[in-house]
Amino acid sequence: MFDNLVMGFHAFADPYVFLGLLVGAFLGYLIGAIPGLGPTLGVSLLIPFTYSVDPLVAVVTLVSLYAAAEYGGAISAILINSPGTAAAVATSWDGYPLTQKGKAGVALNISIISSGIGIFISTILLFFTAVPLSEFALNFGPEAYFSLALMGLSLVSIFASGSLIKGGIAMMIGLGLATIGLDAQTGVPRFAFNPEFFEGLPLVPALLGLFALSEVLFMIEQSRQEPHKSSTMSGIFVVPFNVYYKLKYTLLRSSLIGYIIGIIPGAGASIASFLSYGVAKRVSKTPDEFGKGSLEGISASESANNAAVSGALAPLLALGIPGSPTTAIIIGALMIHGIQPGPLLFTMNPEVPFTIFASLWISVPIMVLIGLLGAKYWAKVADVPRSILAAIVTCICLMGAYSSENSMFPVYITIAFGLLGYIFRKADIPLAPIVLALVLGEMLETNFRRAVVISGGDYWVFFQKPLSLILLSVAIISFLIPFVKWIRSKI
Amino acid sequence: MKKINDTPTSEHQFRLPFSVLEVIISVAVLIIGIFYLIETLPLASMASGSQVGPGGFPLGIAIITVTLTSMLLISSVIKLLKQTDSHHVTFHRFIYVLISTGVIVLIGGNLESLGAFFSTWIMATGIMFCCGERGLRLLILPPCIGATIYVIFVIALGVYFP
Repeated sequence: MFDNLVMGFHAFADPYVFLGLLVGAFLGYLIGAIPGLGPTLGVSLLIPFTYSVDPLVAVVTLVSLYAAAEYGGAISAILINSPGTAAAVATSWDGYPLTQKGKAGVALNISIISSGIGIFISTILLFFTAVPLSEFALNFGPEAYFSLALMGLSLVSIFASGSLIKGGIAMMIGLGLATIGLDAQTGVPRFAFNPEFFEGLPLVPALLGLFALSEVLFMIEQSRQEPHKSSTMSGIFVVPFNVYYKLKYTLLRSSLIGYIIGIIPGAGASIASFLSYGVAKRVSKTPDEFGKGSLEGISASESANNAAVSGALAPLLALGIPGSPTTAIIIGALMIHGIQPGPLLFTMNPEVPFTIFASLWISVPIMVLIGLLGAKYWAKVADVPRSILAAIVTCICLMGAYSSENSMFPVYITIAFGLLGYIFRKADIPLAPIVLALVLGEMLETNFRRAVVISGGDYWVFFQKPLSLILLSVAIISFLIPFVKWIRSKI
Repeated sequence: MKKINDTPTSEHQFRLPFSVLEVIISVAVLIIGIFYLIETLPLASMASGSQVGPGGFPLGIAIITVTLTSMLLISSVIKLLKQTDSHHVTFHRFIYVLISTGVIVLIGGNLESLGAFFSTWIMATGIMFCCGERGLRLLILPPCIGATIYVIFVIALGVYFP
């Protein structure tokens, strides 16, 4: 395990891998600092640029963008009370009051360094849990994999906001789309009305449309923006060490909460930051300061939402299960490079997960430096006119889709999914279940059929093995919780 | 130089009762779901013995989709008839959203024939115009965006355009 970790660090001897980390970190801050954009859109837009690069460079760039976007989201939350990402909302509750008191620099310093500590601690947890988890998962049979994939989908249904029925419809749409193409076991074409669909629905163009192109139409709706008032950054480099010493338990606890919540499919960084903020307020000696400029509040929110990034990578790397739309997109990127996430990744391509671990640790001082030195400039990024952003995003989406196969077919897919994403978002139909079901669909079906064939047609096989039974029970309970809530709300 | 016009005003808005949008979407998904179900039936019959055929899984998806969509349709129609839901969905700057959709479909759909530079130039102009951009910036920036995209994708990444 530690030999592989050395190999992961050694990958950074290649200057392109290091350059990938810098580019990802820079772009992540950029995307994170712009309200409305976020890691999902950033990662999907970056994928087309990684088609022709080395898989390690691609993975490091995407993961560092994902992490940096969470750092960057706090900057606009603190300076202009407009969180760059949903996970930075709790940060704005205490960050912006500090800005109003003329302490923006202190708030930014606490936020950026807490983010770094969150990533650092959670990557240690990731290292010590993902590797054993992948080894344990090697013993999974098809029935356990089916139950695991179903559990992943069911947890998404708990956390998906809005209507239970709409979440279910979104999930079924994703599963239905996953069945398009040649059947993996019999070779029979299913719903492939055009030969270009034989290999299935191209994932990246669909994601570009759903998350990026649909966002363009929202930018057009809200084109006008007022320039924000600039704040002074005094105190950004002068936060004394004893401030962090006092925050040590908050940082540790929040990193742990963030990591655990990050592992749960569908939960993600936003829930991690809200939960961690709530816990920090409850155990704080000065709960009255929360919401008025509490350093503990900023620290709790930021360390948790960044720790959730590492948490979300655990099921992705060890089990091949995406926990969020962003990790679903990263799975798509890995597949483009012929890398299949899951337990075999650690034996077939150990350089990938261990380089990711190394990159998360190496990124900490880089992200902190980029954040602190560039805070003044990241704050200005939020003022970039929406018209320019919309034009750039549209062009990258369509060119990125075209470059995925050097044909027009993916471009049509991107346009169709862009319009679909816009309409669905207007109707409050969540997009996350579509994406997760699209990614997990094949795993779900293949393992279901395999398990039934092995058992000789006995459908009770899913309830006979303890692991499968536990996972299936969690899945059933997760599906039932929103249903029970819905019934109770109607009574 | 900086000119942003056409702020969201009532004349640019298109408001729709939320239940109506739900009805439209549920009807559309229901039609697709029924079509999917019909396409699944011949596949489902290909199962043999203990095997789950290529249609078994899609059949389950189709049945659940049609059931859930019917539930959404019924609840939306009830809300609409009883007028219990006063919630509206607003499409701001609707005309511009439509124009930009047209630009994306028309230019994006001809990306290959127009080439990387010209298609992105025209598309960037259209999108920036729809975002309310007017004046010099609308003339200067789109060709710059087109040139940058061309350099990155065609020259640096080697994307081939016939």
